[in-house]
Amino acid sequence: MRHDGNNDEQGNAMTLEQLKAATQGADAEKIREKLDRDIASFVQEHRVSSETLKKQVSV
Amino acid sequence: MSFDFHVFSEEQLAGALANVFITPEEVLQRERSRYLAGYLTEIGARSIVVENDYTDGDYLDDYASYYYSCFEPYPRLCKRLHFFKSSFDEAIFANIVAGKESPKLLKDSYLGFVIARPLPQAVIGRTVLKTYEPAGRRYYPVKRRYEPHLAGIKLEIEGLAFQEQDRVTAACATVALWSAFHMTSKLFHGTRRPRPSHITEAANTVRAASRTLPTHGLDVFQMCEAIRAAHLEPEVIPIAGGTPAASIIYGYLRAKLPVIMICEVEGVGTHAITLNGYSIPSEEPDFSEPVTRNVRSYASRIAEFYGHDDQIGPYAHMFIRKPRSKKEAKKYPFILEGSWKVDGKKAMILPSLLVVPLYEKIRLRYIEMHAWIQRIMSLLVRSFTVADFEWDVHLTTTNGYKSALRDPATEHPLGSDQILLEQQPRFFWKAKVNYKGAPVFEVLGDATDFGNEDDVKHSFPLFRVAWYNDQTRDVFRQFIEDDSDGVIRALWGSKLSLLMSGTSPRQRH
Repeated sequence: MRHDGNNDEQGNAMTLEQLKAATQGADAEKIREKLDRDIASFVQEHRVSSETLKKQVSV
Repeated sequence: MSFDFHVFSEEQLAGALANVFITPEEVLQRERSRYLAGYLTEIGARSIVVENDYTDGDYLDDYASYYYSCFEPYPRLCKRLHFFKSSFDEAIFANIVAGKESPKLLKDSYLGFVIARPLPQAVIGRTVLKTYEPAGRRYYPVKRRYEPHLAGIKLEIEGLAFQEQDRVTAACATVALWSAFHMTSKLFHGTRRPRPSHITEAANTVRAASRTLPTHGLDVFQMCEAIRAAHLEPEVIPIAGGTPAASIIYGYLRAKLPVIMICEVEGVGTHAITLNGYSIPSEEPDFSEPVTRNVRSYASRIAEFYGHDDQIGPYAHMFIRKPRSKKEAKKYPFILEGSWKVDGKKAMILPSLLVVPLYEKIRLRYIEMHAWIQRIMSLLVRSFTVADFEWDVHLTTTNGYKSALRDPATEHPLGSDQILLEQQPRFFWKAKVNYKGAPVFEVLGDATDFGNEDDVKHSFPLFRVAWYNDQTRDVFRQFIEDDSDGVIRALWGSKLSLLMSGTSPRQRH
């Protein structure tokens, strides 16, 4: 089954103009630095600590 | 061996579960028995066939590990209770066994079995029951086929094994692992399905702080050790307020992988529940997983999870609820309301940790895949609305993925014929995005690779983007090719940019 993923008929397609608007006026380096920091902290938050491993499960 | 026959009722069930140590009245006072009776009533049980003097392997191992050396002469044999949706009596059963009537009546109406252990407290042993009907909203991906034989008649049931803890050879952590191993041993050839006493012993090979048996529970470190002893690897994910926990659970459950949720039951203590299903109702749930770092997940449609809770029963439901305070929201993305009660009042379930027993080759974590999606969204959020995108992210296998591509009833991306001929990793994450309700593309991430999304220069597990519409694909391609000021490459990196423009950065020359 093929889905009409573009939603053209409803006028909901993702357009080149909209995509281009995403890059306009962007301070790429600044955004990149913030994104990298954000992702690094997200990944780090979800690494298990030795304290967590000591949690006793006993109910 | 003798058989008993009963018309199903709560009282008859209690009588069948009872033994020399516990009366039917005492059985009925126990919440697990009442839950079981309620569950069997819900799935339509009408008849019980009791196999007396049944040798159950799991109980036999527990017996050999502990009970046989007690002064009290605990029996070695159990009863196996079979449940059927149809009504029949001993005469009909005798005719079926003698071959005078077809066994179809038994086979078609089989609902599963419960081992009744000859113990004073934990009478509910290995139990496999049919799940609730899907009713358009319930999903139980974590189930497998069991084939019990009754008087030479092969019966079949799809479910996941459950039992209550005996607090001697197994506490909740052991039982949760035991249920999980019932599934993983079917999924992954060469992995083990140890019995409860062996799980407890394997866990205690390292850092046993107290005596092994009777067990007083395990810590998470010991649970991980038991997982390794089953030839699997433990994936441990701590939960905080900003954790997309529903998405993580969904991501593994969709791949038929059980997720052990470590949680605080208010007023009780730290508990382990083996999650095995979820409900997605047609209407939006009262509270759902919030958008996490610009990623709105399909899993935010989940209203409740189902799990084997050895203190409640099999397939116990837990509704997703909003944290009750800012302090709680900082620690938990959601809390759960199940059947737990303390002093007659509802006790909430607070999820703190997820433990997933994984095949060793599944290495890329959900969190790392989520981080790549966050990177894709970092650009799109600048001119689109986050809420218009919905990401359906789950682990899959190349065989499962390709089988779905061959299914004419499912929607599939452009170039499916070509994808079917491509070599793929055995395990990968599929992240499909819908924009305003219509599929746009899906990104595939190699789960056998390593993640380190915070180190994009050295790690790039994404290997394929499949588009659902050629116009959108061409728009993206042109957008990336026109990146004269380098903004796209700065945010996405050169490899992701290449992949999104239709070139595989993994192409070998």
